[in-house]
Amino acid sequence: MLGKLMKHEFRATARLMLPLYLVIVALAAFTRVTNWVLEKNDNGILSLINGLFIFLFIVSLFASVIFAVVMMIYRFYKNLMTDQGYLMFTLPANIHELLWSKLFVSVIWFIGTVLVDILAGFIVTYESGMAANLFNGFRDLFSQLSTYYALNGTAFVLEAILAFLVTMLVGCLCFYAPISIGHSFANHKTLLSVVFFFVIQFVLRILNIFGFASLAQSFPETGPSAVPTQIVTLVHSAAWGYIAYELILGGILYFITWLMLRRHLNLQ
Amino acid sequence: MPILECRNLTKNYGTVCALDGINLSIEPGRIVGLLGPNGSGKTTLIKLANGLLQPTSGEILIGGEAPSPKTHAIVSYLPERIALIDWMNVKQQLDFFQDFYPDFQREAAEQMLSHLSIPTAQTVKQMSKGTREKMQLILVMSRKAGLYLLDEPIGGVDPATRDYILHTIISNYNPEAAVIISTHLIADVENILDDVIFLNRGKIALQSSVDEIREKQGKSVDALFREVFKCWEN
Repeated sequence: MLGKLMKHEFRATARLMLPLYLVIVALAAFTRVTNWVLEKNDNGILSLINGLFIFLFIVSLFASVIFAVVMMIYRFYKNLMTDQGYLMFTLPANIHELLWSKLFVSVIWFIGTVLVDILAGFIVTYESGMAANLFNGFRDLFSQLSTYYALNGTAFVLEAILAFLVTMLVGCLCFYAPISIGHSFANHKTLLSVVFFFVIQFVLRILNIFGFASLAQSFPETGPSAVPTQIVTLVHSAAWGYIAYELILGGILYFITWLMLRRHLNLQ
Repeated sequence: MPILECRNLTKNYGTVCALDGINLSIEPGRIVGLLGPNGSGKTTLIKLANGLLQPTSGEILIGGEAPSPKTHAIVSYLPERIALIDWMNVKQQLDFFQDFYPDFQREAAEQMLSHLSIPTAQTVKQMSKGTREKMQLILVMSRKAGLYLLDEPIGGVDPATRDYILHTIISNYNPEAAVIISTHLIADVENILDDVIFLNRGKIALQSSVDEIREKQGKSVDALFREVFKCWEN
């Protein structure tokens, strides 16, 4: 059932996300072309058009990220909290499947947006041999880090990817939880969703402060005299500490969302 | 085994009691009118049967089980609001129902849609309110379900559409299933009902077969309804 829900979630979102990706790539291509023409033939109007394309291109990069976040919020609200909820909550699917279908698809679009933005960046700035240079640069960086800090490059990359994925999932739940709480009330559902969003954010900020304070105290001295292995241990510990913290936070927010949808659903 | 059973079912919204210790049992093969004035608890009862609300106390069972994804698979539910996904066209709506409900009979749905001349490329957004209601009913009635829960299927539509909706219900429901029709427009539905349940202020005021009402009381359901609820008001 999760697969079917994801399929329909993709259908609902792809009709908006794919044209957006197309616009970003097209803007990147236009920017690239105007850059190229300007190199050959410099004149005022071309410079103006080129400047306009560069501006639109940069705006589109930011807009794509904002759009992906807005769509994640809107899909949850529209599909589960409005009249469509009568259809979705009476499907032969449980609340976990409904939630995970939205979470997975949102995260996939976030990753897709980052990749398309990177691709667009390449289109605008690409030069012959750039990809090879970039690859070699990363390889050298890891090689040096491995030599000097005895850093396990693979573990570091995996930790970074895991942290990125967990952050995105928790990011979605930071919106899902307050929306589901706000919509359990009879009136002022949207207003209350916003209020609960800020309440949750306030609590999280307080927890973050305490979390960082205790983290800082628990680590050994890592000043300039610290040996490289100590720094590596610190990096790994911090990464896993962050992932664990996000997982606990995500678990709490997920439970709140599930509980509200399961026990306190209040469709109009 | 009853397809729908309520045991001391109570639902409160804060201090307001919407359903107060309801006990009822509905057997398969019956068309039941859930009748009552606005605010009598009809929609609350149907929402509880669909798991959209949770009982304050007591229980509601569908085929012997509490509402869950398993019972959703045998219940075909028509909400009182339009719950169709507005960006989808007719074909996509059919795909959606076919994907999620193994008992969905696509051919039956397509046949009914062709009678209405609704283009398959038309999206829900482009449809009139009446067409949306018909479309939603067609999707619901195209399932070979064990229980049909129809919440106000004829509320707010013109008399011609009302006739179409009732005809669609009668022509398409699974005869082995129970159909529960919630409405306050009794005169329009009473000819198709086997049983009636009168709900008032969260309590069952009357539960009887339509034949019994006609034979013993010598009245139509509509006349009895007016009488019963007039008494309640006094």
